[in-house]
Amino acid sequence: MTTKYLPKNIYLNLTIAVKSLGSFKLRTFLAITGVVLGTLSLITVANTSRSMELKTIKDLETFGKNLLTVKSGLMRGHGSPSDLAESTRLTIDDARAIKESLPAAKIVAPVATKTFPVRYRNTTLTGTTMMGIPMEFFQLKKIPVGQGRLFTEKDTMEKTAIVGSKVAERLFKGEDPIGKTIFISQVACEVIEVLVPMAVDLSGMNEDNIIYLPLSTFMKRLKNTTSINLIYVEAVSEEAAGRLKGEIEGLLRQRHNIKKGEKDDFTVAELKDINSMQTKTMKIVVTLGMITSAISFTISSIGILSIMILMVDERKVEIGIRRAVGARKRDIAMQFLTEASFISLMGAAAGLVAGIALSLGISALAKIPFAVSPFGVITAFTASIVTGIASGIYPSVKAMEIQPVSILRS
Amino acid sequence: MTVEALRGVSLTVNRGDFTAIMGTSGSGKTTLMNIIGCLDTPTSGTYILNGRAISAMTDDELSVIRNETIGFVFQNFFLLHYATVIENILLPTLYMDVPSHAMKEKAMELLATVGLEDRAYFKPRQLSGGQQQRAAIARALINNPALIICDEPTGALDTRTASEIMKIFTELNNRGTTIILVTHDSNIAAYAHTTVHIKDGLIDDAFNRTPRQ
Repeated sequence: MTTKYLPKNIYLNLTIAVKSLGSFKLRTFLAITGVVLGTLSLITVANTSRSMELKTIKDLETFGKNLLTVKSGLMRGHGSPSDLAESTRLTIDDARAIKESLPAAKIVAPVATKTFPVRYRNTTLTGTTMMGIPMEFFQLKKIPVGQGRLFTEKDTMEKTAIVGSKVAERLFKGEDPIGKTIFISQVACEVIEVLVPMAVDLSGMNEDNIIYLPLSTFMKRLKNTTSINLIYVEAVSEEAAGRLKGEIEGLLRQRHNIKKGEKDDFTVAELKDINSMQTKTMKIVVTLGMITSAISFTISSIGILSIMILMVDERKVEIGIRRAVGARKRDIAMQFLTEASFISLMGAAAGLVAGIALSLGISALAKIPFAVSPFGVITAFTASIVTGIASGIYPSVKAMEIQPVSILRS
Repeated sequence: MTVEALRGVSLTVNRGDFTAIMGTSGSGKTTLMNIIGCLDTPTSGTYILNGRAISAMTDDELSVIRNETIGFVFQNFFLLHYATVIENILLPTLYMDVPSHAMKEKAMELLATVGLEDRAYFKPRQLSGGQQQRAAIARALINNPALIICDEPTGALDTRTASEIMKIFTELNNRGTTIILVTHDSNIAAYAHTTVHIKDGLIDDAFNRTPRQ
């Protein structure tokens, strides 16, 4: 057999196909909308899920795998931080007790937060979170040092501040913040360091919008209470972390006089629990995205089917001519299958671009690293080719049945 | 009910002949043309083209024979109106195993032969009827056919244009191409060397004209 389906044939065939589609631009557009949306949803959830994975990996790198958090208040189920019942019963003394009586706790860092207005010259910011942290905080959290320095022993009662990148940007507007004096609710503090952009941490707090102060300075000069919000505890080993969780719970129940049967007024969580919770949530989102995308592809296959039936009907003469000049039945079938796949692939390409744009936007808004998921791209293109071929089968068979004799004498 | 379009036709066409098949509509000339053009096979009897028995071939084999040995020119030109002239001419090459650049060169040469070298990238509808038929002739020639079959090639054209088109066929025949011309118009059939009359599915010997020498 001399006739072969060569790449150059595909090119010229598609050129002709695209031109013949010219009179059905709107219908073709509608037919591929489903493929576009299907790909869009698939790419977006796959990319976002990949971004979350990267974020988790990054978090684990910054914090280490052995980290536990003790939060003030009881988290009801796996809810958001807003589900926390406000409690003021967690204190620095609790942190000290954990450090002193539990040998599995290697580093203990109590943290207190509160929002205060901050002013530099004529600029005042109101929504900025102040966080009082002990020196140990930077042993837990690996923060790259910029142009200034982090807190040392000397800063314990000093009025020094480390500002997040966003705060620095909005407060100093391009000026070098290091060495400048800012006023936090009338307390004058010297800026000693600006942090590199960090994005959202595991507790959902935007770290770029935080001003760090030495814990004792913060408690005495600003907060005026002994209650703290959070204690970070690093266990001596990964195995010890699970055991330590129970020990902390026992210790705190005893210290807070919580009787048997009463609920805790604090929540101890392991970092990997928080991550696995996020992974579970993400899995649900991915599943929903996949379902949406499957529905879109199915609807689109009907759309492509109808446009292909129309195309075959409209191009009967073309089929007759092609058969007369030497096309075999299988060449005709191949031509329409290729066209259907091509239409579908165009939709996938458009959906890919839109999906990448959307996931870029999500990454930027949620401050998570952007990533393209190879799984998403491969799945989307496979699905679109399958959709194209599936919806091209019936029209191809119809096209194959067209006899040149019946067409060329009409 | 079976209708016999042809009832025992015996016809020999030699290489280099210019044969006209004449007949009224319903005479069976279209069926004969379809068989000669390998678009259809006879229910009985044999058809031998270039020494090969066509009557026993499968649909796929017929396609290959058409692709390799036959060029078609139709009354309504049958050009794809959404493709350019050159794309139309290249259509048969899609089913050939030849490099595309060589074919494109050949298509341009053929366009020059039929006097359309400056119309390669026009759409058929931008051309006159005569020009469209010239493009169709170029398409029929792209595969170096052993045989060209013309089905009422001037049926849609005015007399002056018709004679221009017939001159092209005459020239092609002078250069050695075998041509079979199907028509009901005796003025057009006069361009052929031999005329075969078909009536009620049979060759009507009374009217047949022998080759002029």
